[in-house]
Amino acid sequence: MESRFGTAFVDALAEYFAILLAALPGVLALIVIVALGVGIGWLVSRACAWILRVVGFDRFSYRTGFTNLLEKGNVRKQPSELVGSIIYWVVIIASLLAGLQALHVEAVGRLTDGFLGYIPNLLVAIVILVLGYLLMIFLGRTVLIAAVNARLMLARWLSAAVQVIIMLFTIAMAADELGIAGSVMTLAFSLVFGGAVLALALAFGLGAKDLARDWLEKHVTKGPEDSGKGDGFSHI
Amino acid sequence: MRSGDIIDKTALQSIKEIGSAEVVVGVPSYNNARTIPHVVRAVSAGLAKYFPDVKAVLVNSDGGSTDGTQSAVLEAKVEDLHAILVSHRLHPIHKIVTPYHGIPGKGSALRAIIEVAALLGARAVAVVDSDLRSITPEWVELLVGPVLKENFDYVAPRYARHKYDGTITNTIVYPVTRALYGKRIRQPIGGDFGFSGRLAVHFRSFDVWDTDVARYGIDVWMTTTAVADGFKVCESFLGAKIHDPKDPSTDLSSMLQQVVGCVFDLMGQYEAAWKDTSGPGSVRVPLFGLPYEVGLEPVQIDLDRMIAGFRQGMELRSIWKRFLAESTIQHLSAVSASAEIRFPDELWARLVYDFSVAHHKRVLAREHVLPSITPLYLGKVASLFSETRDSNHAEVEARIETLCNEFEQAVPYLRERWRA
Repeated sequence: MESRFGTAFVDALAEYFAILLAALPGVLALIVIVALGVGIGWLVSRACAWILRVVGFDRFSYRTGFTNLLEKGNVRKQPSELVGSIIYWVVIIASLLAGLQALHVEAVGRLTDGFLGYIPNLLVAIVILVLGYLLMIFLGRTVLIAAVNARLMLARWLSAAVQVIIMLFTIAMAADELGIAGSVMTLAFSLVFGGAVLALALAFGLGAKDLARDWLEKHVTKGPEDSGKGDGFSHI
Repeated sequence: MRSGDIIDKTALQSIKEIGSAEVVVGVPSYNNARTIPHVVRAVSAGLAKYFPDVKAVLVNSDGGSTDGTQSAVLEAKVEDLHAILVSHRLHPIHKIVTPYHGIPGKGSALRAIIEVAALLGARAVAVVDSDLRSITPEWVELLVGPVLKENFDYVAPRYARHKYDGTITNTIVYPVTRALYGKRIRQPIGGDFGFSGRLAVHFRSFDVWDTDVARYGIDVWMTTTAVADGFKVCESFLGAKIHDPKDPSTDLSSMLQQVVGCVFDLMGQYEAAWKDTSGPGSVRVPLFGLPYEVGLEPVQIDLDRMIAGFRQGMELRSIWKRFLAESTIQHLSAVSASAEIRFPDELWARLVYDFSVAHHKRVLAREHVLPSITPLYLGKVASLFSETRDSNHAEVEARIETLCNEFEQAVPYLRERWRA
């Protein structure tokens, strides 16, 4: 009995050590790859942050309102440092996933393949969102200034409407890229945008044209104080 | 750039035939066949009357007119010189008509005139607009005389204007150029001016001819360059300036963006001239001609519309917040909320400097900084109009003098903001 137990114990121990020995190179490879990833990630992130700072990315971000958005989100880092940090963590995660593949575990392999295959879509979606945000800020300001200088009474509403449309369009594009309810987002955008255009068309073209004209005269065209007369003096 | 790239071959041939000239009078034009004959006649009579012994050339630099402007220049002549008490000239007045090359605008036209003047070795150059209706032969004497006889390098025009005219000049361009460069040139963007051959060579050495400066701000560029680079500057009183109305489609916001943008760009270009100069102040420059006032006939001013524009402009608070101090915005809100608009000079001077810093440092896209000054400008102009409603010309000038002093006092503030 003692001998059978001893044999079973020794076999189990031998099998354990065999598995450990078989996995050891993989674990060592994981540790080395992650360590390398940390080092490379640190170097690449520092280099990227430096390059972005030198080419004036922080100033550009301030001008476009991106820094303001970060401050609102309680992010205290400079945009160049933030991009550096993102790159750092992307490199770490990528090296961790590459290291896990060295363990030759099937489930981990499937997970990493799926994740790595999703990264391009994720990056494209992030780029779409950032560009959409910048465009929204720029055009929102342009419309606001032009509308105020043209004395349109609903200047702020016009600017906000332009921003909402651009943001909806951006979110729909990003969601489509990520495959998250893309059709729902596109449909929602089409409904909102199409509905607004249809309402305006109906207002102008059908029975409400007089009402639309009165409303526009009252709210959208020149303010009530505006006589519409030109200046009688030369500005230059 | 070679001369052949600036003016055409026929003009180069004419220059070769003429050889040299002491005086060049340039007339930039574009579809001005209706008004240019009078300008050419006035210039010809002025040269004959005041500079009969001087070899002179009239240069028409044309932007591709299709209404016969160039032939109108060649055909225009003074029928009866005795009627304006002119003796026979020793030298005939040569005419060179050349289409200019480069981007459309007065800058390229002037570049061609300067090129001709340099090639002819001219001692004095005068430039007059082609749509002038009020030009007289005396303008030639007043623009060329100070250069030839008194050795001045740049002659800026001074016109008799209605007390309400020239509001961008009065509230921004004149106070800023005077405060920063130290010379009181009352109309830095006059349009008609004289300069020496030495200064023509200096202008020629710059590479601004394909930029927005050439397109929109060549007048203020020439004035600023002459003053900031230490040339001898004076003014000549030319009387009233009556000319064809400009393109009515140009709206106020675009006009401000073009003119003020050039002034701000020049502040950056000539930073060395004002950034470290100690103590505020400016000096008068010699004035030629006999100043007189014009009548104060009522002009159409819609003060309520301007005030409404200023008040609505407070909607741009979110944009101004990016480069104006919170206290400044609060001050603006208080001014806008008061029953009668009174825009303090100190606030206006600091605002203009704040906008110049934002433009220089590109705190926001430049397309957003400059147009957002329009409502504030309307508020300042409305305030000035309302303060000087019952004032005469001299009182309005005194009021502008007070405003200019505020700009001079605020220069240390500008320096501090510029360096920050």
